[in-house]
Amino acid sequence: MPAAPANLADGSRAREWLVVKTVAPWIIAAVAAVVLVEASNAFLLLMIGTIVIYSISAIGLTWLMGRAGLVSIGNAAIMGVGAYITAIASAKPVISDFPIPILLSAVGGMVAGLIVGLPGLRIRGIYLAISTLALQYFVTFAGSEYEQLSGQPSGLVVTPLSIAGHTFLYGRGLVLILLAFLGLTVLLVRSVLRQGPGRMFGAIKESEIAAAAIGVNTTRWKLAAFVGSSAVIAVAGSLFAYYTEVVDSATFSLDFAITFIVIIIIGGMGSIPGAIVGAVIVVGLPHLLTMVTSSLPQAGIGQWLQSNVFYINEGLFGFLLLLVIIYQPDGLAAATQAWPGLRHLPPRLKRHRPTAGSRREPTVAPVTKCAAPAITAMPRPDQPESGDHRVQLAQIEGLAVTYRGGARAVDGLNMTIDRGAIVALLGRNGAGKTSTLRAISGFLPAERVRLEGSIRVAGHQLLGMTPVTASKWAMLVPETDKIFPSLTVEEHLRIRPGRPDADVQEQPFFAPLRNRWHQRAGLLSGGERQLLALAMAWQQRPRLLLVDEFSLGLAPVAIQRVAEVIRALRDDYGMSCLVVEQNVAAALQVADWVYLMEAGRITAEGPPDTVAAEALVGQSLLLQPEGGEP
Amino acid sequence: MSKELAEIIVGMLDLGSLYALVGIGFVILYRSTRVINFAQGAFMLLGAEIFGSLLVNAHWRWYLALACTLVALAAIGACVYGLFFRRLVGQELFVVVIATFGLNVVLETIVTIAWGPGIRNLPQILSQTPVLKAGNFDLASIDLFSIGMAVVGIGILELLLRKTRLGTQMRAVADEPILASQMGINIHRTSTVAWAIAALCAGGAGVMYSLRVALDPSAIPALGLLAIPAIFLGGMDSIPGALAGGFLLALAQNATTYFVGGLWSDVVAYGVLVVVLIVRPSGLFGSAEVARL
Repeated sequence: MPAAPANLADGSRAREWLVVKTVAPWIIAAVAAVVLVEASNAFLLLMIGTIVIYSISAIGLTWLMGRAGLVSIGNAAIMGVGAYITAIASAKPVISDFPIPILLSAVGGMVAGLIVGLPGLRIRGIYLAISTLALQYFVTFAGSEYEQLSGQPSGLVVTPLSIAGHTFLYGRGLVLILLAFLGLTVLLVRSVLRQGPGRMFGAIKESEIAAAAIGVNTTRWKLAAFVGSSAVIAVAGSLFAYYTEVVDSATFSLDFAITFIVIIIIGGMGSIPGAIVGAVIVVGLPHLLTMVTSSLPQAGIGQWLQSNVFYINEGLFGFLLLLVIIYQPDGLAAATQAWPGLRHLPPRLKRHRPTAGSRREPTVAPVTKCAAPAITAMPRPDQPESGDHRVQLAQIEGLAVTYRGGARAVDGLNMTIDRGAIVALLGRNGAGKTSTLRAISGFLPAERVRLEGSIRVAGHQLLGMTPVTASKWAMLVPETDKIFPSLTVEEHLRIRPGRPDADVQEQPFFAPLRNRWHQRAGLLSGGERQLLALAMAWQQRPRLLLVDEFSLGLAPVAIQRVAEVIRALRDDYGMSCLVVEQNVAAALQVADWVYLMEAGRITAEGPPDTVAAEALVGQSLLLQPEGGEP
Repeated sequence: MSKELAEIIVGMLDLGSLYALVGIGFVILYRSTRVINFAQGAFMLLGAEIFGSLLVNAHWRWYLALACTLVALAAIGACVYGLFFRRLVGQELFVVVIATFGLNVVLETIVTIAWGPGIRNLPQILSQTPVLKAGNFDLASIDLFSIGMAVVGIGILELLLRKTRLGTQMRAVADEPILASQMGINIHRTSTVAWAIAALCAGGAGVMYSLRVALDPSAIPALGLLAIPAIFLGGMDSIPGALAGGFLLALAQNATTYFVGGLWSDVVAYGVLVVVLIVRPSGLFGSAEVARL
């Protein structure tokens, strides 16, 4: 039995090592900071003090934005609240004793945070950010009014910090106190974020709806994030007041607020050490630039730099911001991707799920206008244009689709599509059907999804193409977002030069669109939208039309109509088509060849009538939790 | 109508034209790229400075200087997209918005280095004396210039969006960027045009302000920020909204200045913003889609 105690010892040693590993850097940093402060000259000391205060404020902001996912540009305003309260309290006899002004500032910050947080319960994302911008104006306005009223128009004078009879003026002692506050902030915020509350914030940031669904009181936790982080930020403002000894409304500008966003962007959103590193860079860089330029020769660019270094330093954080966002945006992206509404150019900005008609399977699938003669033939259907031997249009070999998280949606898929054929790809939800379509049409590479294998359409390798280039050969009609809601039908068909919309008007199968010619597409019914999307796709004359779930949300009559159009596009123009469906009956109305897909692979193929039975059985398995293969 | 009311209305028309012009550029940029641009103030300042230099230092005629300024601003706007924002397509909206803050700071820094931080007065090329009188309404040629510029600008842009293929493409990109690119629309082209228009409109508004008041490097960008509440009031994606929002906010601000005092006028603007955000985030004319951001 010697193994178990050894393991136990190993485990506790590992735990000890983990504790040392996480705690040691902080202790080393703290010691280093104290040593640095002791060794600094006055100039360096000034910088360190500023860095420490900015770090505290940035830690508050990174809690709010990075961890709870709530956007705010009200940082300067909250700091202003803390600074004003400290300035006022420090001048009053009873409440000027340490730490009362700082505590009052924290409480004031919490109240301000609550006020900002209340709209945050209703609005989110960038709207929330802009409402915090309003707070910025209110605080600076109230501050400057108070300065005027109290007869100190150039700023309120702060009575220096005094602890147990010892007054801390500008200098080493004050900076050490600031460092102590930074240490406290780090300990406090870390412990909050590492325990229960941190998980709540994380859940809300990931998905507010999901968090609410598992019983998280999102309202309470969002407000808590605002209140808690604002207390930290207001304390930073209070320390800032003691440090600068004057509180002026001009300090707490929008640029000041942006500075803190720059700090946490540079350091990586949500990271406490990152906030400190960001503060070091943002505060230190202008000083560094000044030092470097002053050592340059007094001529040419050196002279130019020297005379303009003040202005350059003023705008330096703007340059930093652009550089970081353009070249190193990942720190930010990780923090913001949780807000579904915040994606710029999102793939699904709007959902237009047709509401007309619910999803029902037609009991029979009568293919009334069946023009393809070869559906019943056991070998592949003959092509209208190529006579008796079939010509392959598309060959997909060994296609694998791996998403960023490592999930494999498609795993070695092989499939061929004959010229002039309508092929249906059937399978249950999550089988990888849509991923296959999106891989062919070039959407997945654009989303940084890993693709392997080969997709050849009409002799061209489509793997890795962008949707724009791929659309010459294979054009996708997506499941949602297939039309432009604010454009009229006519405008849809006139977007591109050289594609006469008259074409579409003459086509009998697009007849329903003619009555809607000057209406906004957002007002069309689900079936009409599908027709419009098909008309647009047809205008591009792709070799292969890819249609994702055309039956979704459509009434059986509408499904039949859309199916007729797909057939007509093939019969009249030889346009091959790959249809992805969950609705087997709908797919069977159009297809001459059927593939069944399961867990990223093709499990069966054949003409519709033979595969249909299997498919229908497969579909019924949807109801069972663990469906085995029949 | 009393003299005071007439003054408030004329003030509203002036300030409203300015907000409307800035707002149109904002809306067009927002609609075709989904960028909420906080650099409009810097574009205004750039326009005013370029115009001032051409007018005062190069002794150009004012209309030539104006035309050249607008062309320059359009070029600058296009460059801004080509250099920076083109690289941010597909980024989170918040990142892009923060980047426009950065752009604002950078442009203002460049202006300060190139032209200095001082306030300059431009020669009075348009008189402040009334040329049009109706009852108590006194409209000077500078008023007519401001209003005319806003009306003409908005008319041209509305025609561009409604009647040209480029305009249709821009609206299509605004609706569904990915579908639009699949349909063969060059998104970089429409975005470049949108940035050019946004900068051009803001530059025009900057010229408008510097002719009326002064070439003030701190007041002009501040005014650009005040256009934001106007835009939210009207609805971020609506051109008539930009118009209505601009004039309504200008009315509220002028009335506040008159009855309470000028200090409160900016506070009122942001008070309006907060109320709009809470009560009706899509603004007066905006589509509900916007409110879901």
